[in-house]
Amino acid sequence: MTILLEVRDLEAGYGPVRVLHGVSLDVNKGEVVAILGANGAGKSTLMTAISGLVRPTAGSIRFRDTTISSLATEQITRLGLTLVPEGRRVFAKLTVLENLKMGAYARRDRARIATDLDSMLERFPVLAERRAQRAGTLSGGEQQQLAICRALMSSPSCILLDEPSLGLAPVMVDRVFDVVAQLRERDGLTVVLVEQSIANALEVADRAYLVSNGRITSSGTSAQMVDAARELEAAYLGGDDA
Amino acid sequence: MNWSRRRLAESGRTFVVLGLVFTVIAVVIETVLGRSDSRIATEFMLVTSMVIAIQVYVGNSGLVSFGHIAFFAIAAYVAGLAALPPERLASIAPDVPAWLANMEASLPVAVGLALIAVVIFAGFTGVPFARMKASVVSAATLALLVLVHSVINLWSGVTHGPLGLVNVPDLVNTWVVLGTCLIITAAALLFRASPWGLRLQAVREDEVAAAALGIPIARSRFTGWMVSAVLMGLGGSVWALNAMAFAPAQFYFTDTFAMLSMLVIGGLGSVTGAVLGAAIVTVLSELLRNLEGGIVIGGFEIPELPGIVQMATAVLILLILIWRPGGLLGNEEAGAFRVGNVKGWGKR
Amino acid sequence: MTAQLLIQQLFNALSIGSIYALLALGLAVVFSVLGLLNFAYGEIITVTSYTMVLLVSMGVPLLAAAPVGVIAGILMSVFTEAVAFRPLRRAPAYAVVFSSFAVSLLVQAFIRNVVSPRPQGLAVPAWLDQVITIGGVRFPALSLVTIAIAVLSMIALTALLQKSKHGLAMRAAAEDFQTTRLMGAKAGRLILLAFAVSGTLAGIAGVLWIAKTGSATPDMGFNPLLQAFVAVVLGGMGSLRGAVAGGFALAFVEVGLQVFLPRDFVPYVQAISLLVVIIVLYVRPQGFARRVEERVA
Repeated sequence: MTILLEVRDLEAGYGPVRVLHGVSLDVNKGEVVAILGANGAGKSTLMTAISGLVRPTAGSIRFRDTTISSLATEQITRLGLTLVPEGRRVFAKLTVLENLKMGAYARRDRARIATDLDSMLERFPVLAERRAQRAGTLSGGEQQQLAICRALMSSPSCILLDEPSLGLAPVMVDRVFDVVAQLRERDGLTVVLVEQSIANALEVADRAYLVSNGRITSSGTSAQMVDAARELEAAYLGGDDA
Repeated sequence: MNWSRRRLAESGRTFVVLGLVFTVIAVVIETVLGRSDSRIATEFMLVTSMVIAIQVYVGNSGLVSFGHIAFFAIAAYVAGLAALPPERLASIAPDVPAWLANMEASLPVAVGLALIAVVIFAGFTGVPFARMKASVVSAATLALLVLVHSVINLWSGVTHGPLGLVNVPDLVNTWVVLGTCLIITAAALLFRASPWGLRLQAVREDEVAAAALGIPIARSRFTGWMVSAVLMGLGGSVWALNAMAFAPAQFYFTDTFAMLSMLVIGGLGSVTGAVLGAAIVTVLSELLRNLEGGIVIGGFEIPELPGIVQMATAVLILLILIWRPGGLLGNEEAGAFRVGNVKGWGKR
Repeated sequence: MTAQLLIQQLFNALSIGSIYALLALGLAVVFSVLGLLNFAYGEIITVTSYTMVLLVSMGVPLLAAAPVGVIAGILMSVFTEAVAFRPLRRAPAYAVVFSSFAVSLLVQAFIRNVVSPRPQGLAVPAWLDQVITIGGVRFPALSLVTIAIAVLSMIALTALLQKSKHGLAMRAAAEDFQTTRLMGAKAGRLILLAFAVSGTLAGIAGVLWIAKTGSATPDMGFNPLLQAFVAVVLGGMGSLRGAVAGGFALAFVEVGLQVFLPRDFVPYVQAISLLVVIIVLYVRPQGFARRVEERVA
């Protein structure tokens, strides 16, 4: 098992507010790892710190043997680590097609971008149908698919998903998780998944970490985490996060 | 929100320091200085007090306003028109309404009228400006400045157009100037520690968070705008009655930039910074003004350099902004420095 | 108001509006990507104008001097970015107001010292000075050329934004700068590109401006800055289409005021349009742009 992403003693926050207090985790190549925890625990901050949108104040992040903790977001994406941000953040005024093209912005191989685009549209007929529509007119679930596709267009080796099921109807949530499962099976990607929906997350993930108050409080395989569900419940219903 | 005890104490200490500085200058003017140096020093005090007035709005809200010079202009003209005797007004500004022309006002009346005019004008303009998005406010205040300037320039029947008002009675002595400085400084320092000042600073720091705390953004900005305008009106009218002559050009870019650069250099968020910045820019201007006519230093002839003062100030501002965006003092006041307690510089 | 007069004034407004629209576009491009106004924007016009004056006075034909003037404008714009914006990326928003204002004053002072504080004249070639008269309505050649160039420029800009990869990135950045960076687009390059495009548009406007006014002064940049700002506000901050609409609207308002206002008030035209802006900002802070409907899923 090669470690693809390695986070050590990470501290990060916004201005004077410290959110992460020394987080360490590993993600192996080909794994799907879930990051669980209640609102405000620091999961999203972890994602933004790893992807370079927020600069960590201490600790290190290594991706494929390169230290990325001080790199700019643009550079991190070009290295093959991509974030699908919380809330999708599709470019609402651009068309679906244009969104996908933006995903491939950093790539040079014109011909392959075109074929990738075609196969993406084939794989997600909903997007193909709406290719010329403004992304802002898509439904939540469709936007989520678009956001994931857009990230795939950058040909990443590791993809970070921040709360993909947020705000979606249960039917759409299932569809989204099908896609997440595909990411490993079909695309051979390593996936880090931040989720509030524990059941769904553990179904698709190999391992999981529980974040609470900016620290990792437990980790293990999905099976182990399911067994420790009581702890998760407490984390959700208040416990020491209140 | 309440008054910040800490800030209040800090303000008190700062007032002692700044008040002392002003008093010393006033005493020196009265006793030691000759005529021309007196003029410079008095001018310095009045300009500094106006910079402090601007600081109340710009520093606490974080929004650059070019428009406060417009309040200066209005105060100066109203005070001037009120104080000028009707005989002199008849020839230069025939369209001035009779009640104003015949006034030949004394100091308090002239200043009072100016304040009323400023309050009305600032009140009207303050409402839309308080509601504007932060990104446009600065440019909009620039528009306000141009608007007022062009009206003053064009309405010659009332303002004597580009030639301005002359022979305005000299109703002001050094002690009046000192008093004005002290009042404005005290008000600025008080505002900084007051609930209204604190609210405005919260909005400055983080609009979203402030709104979440229930702070009314537009109203906070409006309050800062008004307080700043009133103080500007006070300083401006006293200035007019000391300067005795002024023209629209006084209330346009050169002076706007000069005053704003004093703020930037000294530190936007601090009254002491305003004073420090004013001192630096004034000294620099005086030194360089001698160069403008071209001088000879040790055998080298330095040619005429019109506008060198402005260029140097602009370069200085750029350097400060790059090196210390918060200005030399950032948000710190003189009263904040104690032995062993020097906090971090500047504001990022 | 005869039909003849009406058409004449409409044409004038179109011609003036073309310049305003270009000016507004240039300012709006930077604003849409950065969310900041460039207070040294007017100096692009100034630099372009002085370059033209210099070249034409050396005998270079106007048509050859024009592209050089535009390039000078681009350089000025990029210079402003390097000096006033880039070093202050992490500074609070107001810092850029001061720094760009400082650059503006520096350029003005520089020109006063190095060239001259006095106006410099530009001689326009005879063919541009011609006037075509149809049915009593005067169509100056320069105005026709102005409208044509403005339209062509806007078409070119649209092509850049819609068809090219970098134009796409700029549109994306205008909407969501952070997410655009997530796509691997380098922030610095995008901003530089925005300033270059802005400089091109302002440069073209500058050429048209100096050809029309015939004289360059060190502080000439201030008026274009104001006009651009007014137009951008009217059209809705950050909306490129709005900027164009705002530019034409402003021109129509100005021409209209000049025609209908009593003689004595004509000098107040600028003051009145500024007043209108302040009122608009109060009543409708977002300008007259249509809101794009978005579903927040």
